[in-house]
Amino acid sequence: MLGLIVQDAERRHRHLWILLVALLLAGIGLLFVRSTCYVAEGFPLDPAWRRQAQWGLLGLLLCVVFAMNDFRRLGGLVWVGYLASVLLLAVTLLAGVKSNGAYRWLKLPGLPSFQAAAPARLFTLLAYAAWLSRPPVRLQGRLAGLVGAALVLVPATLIAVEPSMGNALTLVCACSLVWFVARGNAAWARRLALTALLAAAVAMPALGWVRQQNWEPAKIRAALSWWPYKHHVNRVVWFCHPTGHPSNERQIMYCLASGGWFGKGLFRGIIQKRGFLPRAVAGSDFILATIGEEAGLLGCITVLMLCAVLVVLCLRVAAETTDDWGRLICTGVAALFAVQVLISVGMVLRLCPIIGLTIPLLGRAGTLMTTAFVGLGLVASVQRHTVPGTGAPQVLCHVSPPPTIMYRENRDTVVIDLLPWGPIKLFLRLRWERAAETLEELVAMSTAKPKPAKPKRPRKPKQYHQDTRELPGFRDALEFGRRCLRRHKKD
Amino acid sequence: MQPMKGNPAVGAEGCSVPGAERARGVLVWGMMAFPGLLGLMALLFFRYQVLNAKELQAKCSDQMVRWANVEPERGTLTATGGENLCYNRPVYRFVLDLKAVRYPRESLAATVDRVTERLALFRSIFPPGAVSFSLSERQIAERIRQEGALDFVLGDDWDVPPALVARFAPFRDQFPEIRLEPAYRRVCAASSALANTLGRVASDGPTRRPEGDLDYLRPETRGVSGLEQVLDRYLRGQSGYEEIEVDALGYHRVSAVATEPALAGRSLRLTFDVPVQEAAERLLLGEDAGAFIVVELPGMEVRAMGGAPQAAYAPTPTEYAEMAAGTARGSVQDLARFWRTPPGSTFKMITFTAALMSGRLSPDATFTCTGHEMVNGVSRPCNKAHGCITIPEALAKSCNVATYEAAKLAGAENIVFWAHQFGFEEALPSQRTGLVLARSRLHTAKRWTNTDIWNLCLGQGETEASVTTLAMYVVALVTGELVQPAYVEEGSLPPGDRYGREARVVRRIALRPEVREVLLTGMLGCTQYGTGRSAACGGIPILAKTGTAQTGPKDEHRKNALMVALVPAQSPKYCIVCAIKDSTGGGGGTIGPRLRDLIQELVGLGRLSSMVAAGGE
Repeated sequence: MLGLIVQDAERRHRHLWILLVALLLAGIGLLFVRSTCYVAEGFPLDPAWRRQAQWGLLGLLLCVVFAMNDFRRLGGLVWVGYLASVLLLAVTLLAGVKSNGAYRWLKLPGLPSFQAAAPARLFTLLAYAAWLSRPPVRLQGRLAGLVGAALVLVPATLIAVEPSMGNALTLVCACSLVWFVARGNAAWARRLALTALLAAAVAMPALGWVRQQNWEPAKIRAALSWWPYKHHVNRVVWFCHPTGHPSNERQIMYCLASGGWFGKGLFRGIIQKRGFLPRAVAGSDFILATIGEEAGLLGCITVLMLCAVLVVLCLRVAAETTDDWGRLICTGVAALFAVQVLISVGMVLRLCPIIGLTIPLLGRAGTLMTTAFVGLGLVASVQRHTVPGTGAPQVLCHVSPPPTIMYRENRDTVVIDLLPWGPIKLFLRLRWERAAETLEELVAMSTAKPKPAKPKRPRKPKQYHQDTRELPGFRDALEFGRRCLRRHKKD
Repeated sequence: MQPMKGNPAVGAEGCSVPGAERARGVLVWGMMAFPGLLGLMALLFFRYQVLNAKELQAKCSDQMVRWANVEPERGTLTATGGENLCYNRPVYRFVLDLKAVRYPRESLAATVDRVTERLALFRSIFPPGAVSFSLSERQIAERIRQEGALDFVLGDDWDVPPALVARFAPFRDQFPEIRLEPAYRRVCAASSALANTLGRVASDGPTRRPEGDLDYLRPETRGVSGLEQVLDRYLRGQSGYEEIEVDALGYHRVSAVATEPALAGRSLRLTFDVPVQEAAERLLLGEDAGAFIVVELPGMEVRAMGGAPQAAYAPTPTEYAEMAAGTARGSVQDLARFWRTPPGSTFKMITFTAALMSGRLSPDATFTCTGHEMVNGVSRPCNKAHGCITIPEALAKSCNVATYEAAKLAGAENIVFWAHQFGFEEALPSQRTGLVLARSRLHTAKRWTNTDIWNLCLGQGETEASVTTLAMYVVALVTGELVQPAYVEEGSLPPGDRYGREARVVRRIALRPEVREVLLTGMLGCTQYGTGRSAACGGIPILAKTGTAQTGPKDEHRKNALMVALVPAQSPKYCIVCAIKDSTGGGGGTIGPRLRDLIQELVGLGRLSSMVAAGGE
């Protein structure tokens, strides 16, 4: 019963659920980002958490704006945004602010510095989804595929040479999944899932074997000497030698290990506060390690659950939307979020080398947070404008004294609420593909004897309302409703 | 997971029905796969945070027993009158203790990188400018890497004011890598010149050793130099240690496994006489650069000593750098111990000693001084034409011609021999030794030329001596024993020590009585009718010799003024040596009046009794 209630609420207000979960994640993130900015009473608080909050508020505002408006209005603006973001990436490479050896930050006059890769990822996804759903240029066959691939690979390459491998990787993975949803089928997905499981089954022992070999760092460096970015090589070395090197992986392990079940308490994570886990990354890339130390296993699992819920909600919108572009947008946003979460959590769990990604909405990354909110706003817009049954139920009739309310959940489904008051409600969800105005009409329609066919007046076909045959199970449900009514009258 | 219901295949705008159905099939797998993967990761979290938590912490704790030094209390230096010269004032200093936060097997570079990031945070807890860190975080990191030290003293000043100590107290637990270390600051209460001799304190000195700076402080003796550095092994005591067990992350001390207490250093009573020291500084040096020493016979106890009065004895690194670069007003060196100057005419007594002891010159010999002497075809001047002159007169009037004649009789090697006998080139603890021109250093085919002999016999050229060397030489001339100066009172050091009296007599110098009599007569005449007349004071007989050392290029006419004196002449109690750097006048004219004033001051202080001063004994 509770499941039905939740399901009903989730179905009708999914966009609000998405917003709620996103706000929860962002709130938790802000709390722990503030914790990383806090050392002790009397210390000056690092203002980074304030910037994070400002970016979050901006993102929330944009999220609401995008959610309120039909995403289909974007239209050609997507391509403008795509070209602008590619241009920004190029500008970043030429005139970006160098930080830690990478040109990731762009400082434009009058604006706070931001990462151009974050909006570029979103616009690339939108453009790619638009290309897959309704290509503006009629191309066929491989040429279309090549153009689609170029749409992704151009910004991905620009991001990769910043270098920001994590962002490039998530973009390519997310676009691949979007393509998979657009072109693939369930059998492919099944095979992919099985292959991924098999790969994971092979990769895990292989990972352990690699670490047990205890290869000399010099040999690893020599083997990877062709790679242009030395800090990537160092990360691979540290990944292979997490116990022999005082790298961040080691501090992460101590963070998690010292957290235990419930953690040390908020603002009490000494490992990051004392600089063992550098403060520069404790709130961003390793926010989960900070949560693990201060909130323990409980905090980590809460965050993982919220991430899972958010992705599933987005995918449900994708599954139920009636718009191809909307579906791919939702898939892309969910995939971007999911891939980033998987990599970031994998980093913390030493399943992959440190890549430099944070969990969206959670970790300290202002531009990323804003664009994540924008993406979720688009998903909410898809839900509100293209998913049937969204919004508050429409009351069709009140039958009194029997406390039965009949809702029109959407154009296809009618809900008969048999016990509208009280803590528990009983819903009878009926699939109804014909519009019915009242309960009496509904009952009459179901009990009326079939009349001889009359020549019907040709009706203007409705786009969404079509008379179709009665669905199986409808009569049983209606009988059940009638019995309830009779019992109620007797009482 | 709810099965996909609804009726989407109704030809809605923008929706391809077969594509939508196919996509739903894919998305259903996605909706199952992502939570599943996160579930697996949650299991890993469970493993790290619950199952293997203790094992992980144990990996860190296996080397978490570390050593900590227990610093001993440092000894003090006092003067003969009990005045504190150098003593310890308990202070605090901030020490960046990398051991406290260093992980096992962690490289020093990684620790430094990790910790120096937090220094800015550390500074931020204090009001701006309250803590004087002249080095940035990066410079600190570089210095630690260069020195490889796990302890690094933060700040130029050792003395952290109590207000800052109180300010830091609430944050101590937040900064395990920064230790507020109780230390002792060496406070030198002596006057500036003596402080320069005892040791500059409260300075870390420069990062690198400047070329030619012999007074550079080694890391283990930072803040300690001069005589205090020489006596450091007595003063510093013996460090103890504690073997401390700390918690898994190395933050908090759990227990002390073993403890070895520290042994306090020995406090020493030096031979310095503070009133004499102050008088000598004021009267002998004044505002000039130079050095002086006042020793008391017969024990050769140093009662006063100092040099470079205008140099700050506790320079900051900036001042130190200026001094090393030669741009500072003062000298970076302690001139009393490390400045060597040509002895000038004070060397003439060695020349006559060599000639007299060789037997080639009789004590009653006479010379004829025409005011100049042709040496290798060059006319070398005397200070005046003395005419017929005896050896004592030649000494008293500092006649160059007579000295040169005696030197030619003695021979250069003989003079060098006697210079060695009188302590030139004698190794002295903590002091720069003198130097005598030797055959090995001759420029022309290792043969002595007349010019070399001229320079040698007159104490010019490459022959050099410090005021301590000159004092030893003059005292040896009178007492017949070459004795090292004593800085520490008898009984203050362990018996048999190097600085004990047994070891301080270097050699006995057997001069024939008639030779000594001639020399002393000459020195006595110096203040009576010779070049040191200006030092004569109220009939107090003084054995003295003046000197003027030519330094630098000839056209610059730079000279150092010197004067050695023994008072009273009948039974010398004090030997006073003074050298003024870049003096405008000669030794007699410059130092003579100052010496007279000092002797009068000594009488006034009661160090010389009026009877003795009047020649009553």
